[in-house]
Amino acid sequence: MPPSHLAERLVYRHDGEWLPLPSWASFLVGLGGEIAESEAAGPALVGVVLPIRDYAALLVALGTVMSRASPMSEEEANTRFWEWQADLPPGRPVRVVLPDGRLVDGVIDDHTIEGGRPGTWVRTTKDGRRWISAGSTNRIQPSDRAAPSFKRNPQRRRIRHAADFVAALLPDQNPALYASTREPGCVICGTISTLETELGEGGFGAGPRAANVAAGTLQDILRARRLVGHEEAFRTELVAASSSQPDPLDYAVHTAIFDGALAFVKHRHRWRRACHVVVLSEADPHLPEAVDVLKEAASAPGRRGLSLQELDAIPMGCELVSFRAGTP
Amino acid sequence: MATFAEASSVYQCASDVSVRLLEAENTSVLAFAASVSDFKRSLGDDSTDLYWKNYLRTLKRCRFDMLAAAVAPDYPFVGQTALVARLREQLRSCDELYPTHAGAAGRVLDALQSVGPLPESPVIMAARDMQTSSPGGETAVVLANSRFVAPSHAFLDAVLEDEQVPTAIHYSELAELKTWERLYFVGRAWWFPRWVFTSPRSRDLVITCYAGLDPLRLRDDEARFSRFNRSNALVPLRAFSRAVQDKEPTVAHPALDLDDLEPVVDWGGLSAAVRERRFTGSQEEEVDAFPVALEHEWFVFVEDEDGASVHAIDLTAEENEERVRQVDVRDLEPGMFILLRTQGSGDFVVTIADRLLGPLAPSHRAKQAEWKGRLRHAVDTKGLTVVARELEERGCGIANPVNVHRWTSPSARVIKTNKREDFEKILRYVGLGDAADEYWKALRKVTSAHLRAGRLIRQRLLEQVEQADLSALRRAGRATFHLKEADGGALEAFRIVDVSRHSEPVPHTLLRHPFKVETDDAGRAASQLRLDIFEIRP
Repeated sequence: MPPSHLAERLVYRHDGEWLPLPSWASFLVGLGGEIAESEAAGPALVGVVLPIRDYAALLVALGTVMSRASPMSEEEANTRFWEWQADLPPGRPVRVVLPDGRLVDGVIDDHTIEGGRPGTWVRTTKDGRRWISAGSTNRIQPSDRAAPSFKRNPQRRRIRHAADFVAALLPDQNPALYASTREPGCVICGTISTLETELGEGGFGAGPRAANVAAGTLQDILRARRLVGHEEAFRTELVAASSSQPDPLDYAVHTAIFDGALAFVKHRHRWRRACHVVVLSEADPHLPEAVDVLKEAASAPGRRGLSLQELDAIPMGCELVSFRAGTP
Repeated sequence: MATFAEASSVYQCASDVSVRLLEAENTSVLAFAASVSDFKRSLGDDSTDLYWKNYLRTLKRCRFDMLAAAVAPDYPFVGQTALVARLREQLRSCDELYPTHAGAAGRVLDALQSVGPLPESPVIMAARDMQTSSPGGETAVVLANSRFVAPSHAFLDAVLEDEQVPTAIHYSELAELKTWERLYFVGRAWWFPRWVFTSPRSRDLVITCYAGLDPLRLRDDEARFSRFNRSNALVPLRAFSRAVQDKEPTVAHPALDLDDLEPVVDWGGLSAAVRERRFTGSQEEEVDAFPVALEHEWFVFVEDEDGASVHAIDLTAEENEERVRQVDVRDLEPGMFILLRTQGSGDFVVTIADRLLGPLAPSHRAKQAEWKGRLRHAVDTKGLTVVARELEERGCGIANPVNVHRWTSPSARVIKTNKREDFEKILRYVGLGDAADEYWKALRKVTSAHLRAGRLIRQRLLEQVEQADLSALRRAGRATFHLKEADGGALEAFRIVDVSRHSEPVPHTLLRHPFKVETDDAGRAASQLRLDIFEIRP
């Protein structure tokens, strides 16, 4: 799906009616999508000054995450997932996600080929050894818990995956697969409580027609790590702008979104290989500081122009600067 | 937190905004405004004399009130009549002291006196505009100074009677996401921060101002990234450009100095007054401190020391928990609300800590004063560098002139060193080595009481801030918080207007006490003014 069309199915509720996303929000989703699609050309730096910052960072992240998710077929997802699964060492505590969404604790036993198909043996607390073949609908998730006691009753719960909302917004995706596939790479650095509240805001929906809208939250798509279950798959990481030493992340960050001038000024040296999107607002008392940093970066030798389709659609009342950093 | 729909309405305003200008023709107001500029020029170097400095400050304040408040120019708030009488009284001695300026000074007062109850003022223009094109929704008159809010509201109420009365607000209230049907900004656009126009809270912005003041000039009319992008769509700036193009050309009064209309904080004058007090005052201990200008023309000195902090409310903080916090004094910024006591000791943490210590407070505080006093005596006798070196030779590794200076600070917040071994070395040096254990235990309790006091104050303030009407706080620029723990005294939150980073020695008793510069005293002799300038007015 082209980045500019990513937000087409997203609607929001106002006065009891579902309305199409306004142009400023579509722009931000499209911008996130374009950034994700052009990552291969090198780290980009985009600064956008908006009338207000509310929801902006999440909308950019939405574009990034949807853009990454949309081209992946089930087969591709399974291949990628198998590559990850095959690297888990024997004895590693895991959880098996059953097709109905229940979780069962277990540990990796072995990776083998059975009947010509690669797969993994998992010892589960429920039914002894279980064969999880590559491409199976039974999925494995890493578990941070100690290896389970196999005498206990299995713990079971369902993963929340808002299937209808995800299916309506991302028609190419299997909702259960989407919810259980770990595909991180997008970091949002800002005020955690604000971001969490916005992630949980229930006034969003998706659907081809107003009469057939599935309600959901931005979290259903973004799957921020702090808000999903401890061992569930996530796609976005929230990092507190107030933290002086954020914990290092155990994966490559593709896009870092800075929500606010202070977040950018303080943490701009992190995730250097990632694309940076800086979301700023006119009333931010630290705006001039962030603008100076952006202007300095934009004037640095070696910087290259960044052509984004979305540049032509900058919403009224907003300003944007975009470029690609020079070769490191 | 705003809903998505509320956020969208702000973008809608930024996208559709239009800017209109209403200019009020009032030659007598303009003549007075220009006469002040003219008089300042004619004073030349004498304008820095205290006599004329206060005279001019009073006139400039009156001029700004007349131009920027949403009232008629002769409204009692401006204080025109009383002011003319008082300044004429002051000029009686002028013939002898400054005969060359007497005529010009009198002409300014004549110009002020001739400002009569004429119908043309920005707020009357706004009222007429509302009658001819009713916005049909919530409307506000936006003011550049929170002092203007209450009188402007009263004036609008009286003038518009039964009609729809717009709310008078200070521009900082526009930081909230509430959108308005129409906003009338009183005075020059220059007097407001740029974001109120580039992130507008209404589609219909009206600048209403006296003619001849270059009303549409913004503080910064450049797009931020214009150098780097071939296109941008900063509609509000374009709206201003269009309004400028549509504007009827008005010739500014040739004598009027537009850059001098807005009152600025006279840090130099404040500094001179402090120096005067130091030379003429008693043998008070001094500490390095810098002044902070507060809303409603109050000031306060805070100590310029490592680790010194004050309680502040930051309404721009997004998390409630972050709104009340102890802020390093060097991180104070305009827009924050600083909390001060207007009665009793300026340092309410000390007062509350003493209450927590109960009957132990006098003896423990006496110990604190004793070791610091002995060290101060050593410094007075031998000098800072020698004391620091001798302490270092005796094994106190953290002794250096900066730390020794801090330990001798009269501030009750400097209690002891962090490590016991350093403290024992100092006590041995000042002849209290035998009592080191007793002193250490007592002062640990004092430290603990200070920490508990800080937490307690923050907790109580958080509770009150959560219940407070934040719009009212923004509007008024100050608010009172009652803490029963604060010995019955209230805490006053003042919005910071400006912070001087220039530190200088000031008497210890001035620290953290808000004070007001007496602009009313322009008619008094300079020596009297200097004494009154630091009068603490709860």
